[in-house]
Amino acid sequence: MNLSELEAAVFRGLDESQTSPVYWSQTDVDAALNEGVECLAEASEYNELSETLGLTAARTYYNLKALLTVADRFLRVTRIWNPVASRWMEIVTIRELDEETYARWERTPGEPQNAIIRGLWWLGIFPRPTASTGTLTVYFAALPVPLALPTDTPGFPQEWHRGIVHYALYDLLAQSGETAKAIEHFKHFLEYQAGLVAYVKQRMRKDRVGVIGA
Amino acid sequence: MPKTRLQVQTEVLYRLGDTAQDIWSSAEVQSSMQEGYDLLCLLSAVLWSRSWLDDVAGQGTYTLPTDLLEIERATWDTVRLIPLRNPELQDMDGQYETTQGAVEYYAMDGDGLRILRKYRVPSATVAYVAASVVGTWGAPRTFHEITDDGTSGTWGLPRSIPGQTVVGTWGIARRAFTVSPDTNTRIEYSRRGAALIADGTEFEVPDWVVKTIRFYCLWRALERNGPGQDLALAAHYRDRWLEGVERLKGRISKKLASRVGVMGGTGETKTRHMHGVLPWNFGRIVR
Repeated sequence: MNLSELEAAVFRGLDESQTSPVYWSQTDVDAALNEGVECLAEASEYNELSETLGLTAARTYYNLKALLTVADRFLRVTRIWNPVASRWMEIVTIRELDEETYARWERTPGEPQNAIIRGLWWLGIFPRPTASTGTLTVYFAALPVPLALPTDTPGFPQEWHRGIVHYALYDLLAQSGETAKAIEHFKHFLEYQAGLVAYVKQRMRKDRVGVIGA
Repeated sequence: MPKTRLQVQTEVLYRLGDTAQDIWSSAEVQSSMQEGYDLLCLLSAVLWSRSWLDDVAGQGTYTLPTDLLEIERATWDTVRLIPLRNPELQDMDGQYETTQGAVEYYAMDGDGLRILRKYRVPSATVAYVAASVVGTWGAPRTFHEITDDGTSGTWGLPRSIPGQTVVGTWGIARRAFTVSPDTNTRIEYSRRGAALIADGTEFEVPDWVVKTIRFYCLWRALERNGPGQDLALAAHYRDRWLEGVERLKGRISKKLASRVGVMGGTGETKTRHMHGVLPWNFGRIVR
C-alpha cells in the first residue's frame, strides 16, 4: 500500500470523508501513519543500511549520529568491515579491551580490528589509526525516511502494511478520547508488529537448519 | 532537526485535545517532560560523555559533574582505574587519604554522594598544554587533537568543544587551544540531558526516543485527578513509556550482534587473542 492508499484506509476506519474531513486533517493522518512506520521500524529494525566512515588519525571515538548521513534516524550498529585490513571488526566490550589487550589500548596505534559501542551512537575502535586515510564500512539499522509523496511505499512487505493503518487509527482515536476503540486497534497493531519482527529475524527459517551448540 | 521543548509540549497538548490549556497548563506539561527526560536518561544510560577530572596536587577528593548519573569507566594516563570500596583502600594502605603518587584506583564510597576519591592522591596539578595551530589565517575547522567528538555542521565558527572550557562569550579564538595531557584523570559516564529551560531548548536524544518522553507526559496528564482524567488511557501510555525505556536499554546493550553464543560454551570468541593474556590477578591486591 502506498501513502495514498494508507490514508484512504485510515479515513475509512475513522468513518471520515477524505476529501472534506471534519475532525481529522490530512496532516494528522500522515503524522499518525509515519509514527506507525517508525514504531514498526524501531521494533523490527527492517531498514538495514551501510555507509562508509572515514577514519581520522589518532581518534578513538566517532559520533555516528553526526558522521552518518542518517543522523538521528540511526538505531544501532550490526557489523563493521575494515576494507584496508580485509576483515570484519570484532565488536567487543570495554571490559574486554581493558583486560585482554594493552593497558593503554586507547593510545595504541595500528589498523583497527576491534570496535566498541558507548552509549547509543558512539563508536570506539582499537587500535586507533595513524593516518586519516582509512575507512570502515559500517552496517547498521536505521529508521526509514518518512512517507511524504502519495506514491511512497513502506520498505517492508505489504502483508504488514495494515499494521500501520491500525497504529494510525489507534493514535487518532486516542486523541479524541475513544479509549476502548484505540486500545483495540493498538492490540491489532501489536500483532502485526510481532509478525514483522518475526519475519525480519527469521528470514532464512525455512531453508536453514539450526543446531544447538553450533 | 532535534525536537525542542515547545514542539513536544505542543504535541502533548494537541494529543490531549487541550491546546487552549483549559485543563493542563504548559507548566504542568513541561514539568512532566523534564521528569520523563531525566528518568529516561537515568534508566537507559543513553547519553554517554567523557570529561577530565583535573588532578590537583595533594587533593584526594573531587566533585563530579552535576549531570553525571553513573561512572562507566575512569582512567589515569589512559589506564583504567580499578574501583574499590573504602575498606579495601584501608586494607591496602592505611594512609590512603594522603599517600601521593600515580592514580591507580578510585572510590565513591562514604565521602559524599557526588565525590570521587583518587588513590593515590595526585602529586602534581595537571598542566594543560597548548595544541598546535596550523596556519596563520582562517578559522579552525577540525579539533581531533583535542576531542574525539565530530565537527557539527559544515559552516560557521566553533562555539564549544566538549570537555574544554570556553573563555569568553564572543569573538573568534585567537590563541592556541590548550589540551589536557594524558597524565590526568578522565571519567566516562552516562549523564542526564541538558535541562529544558526554554521553549527552544533541544533534546539531546533522537526524535524517535523523544516519542517515549511524550508517552510519559501523556500518562502523567491523563492519570491525575481532574476533568481530563482517563485512567485506562493513562495506563496504556504508562505501558508504552515502560516498553520504550526497555527497548532503548535493550538496544544500547545489544551491541554484540556479531557475537555468536554457544550453549554450554564459555562465550569466548573464536579468534585468537591478539596478545598474551596476563594472569587474572596481575597488578591487583588479592585477598
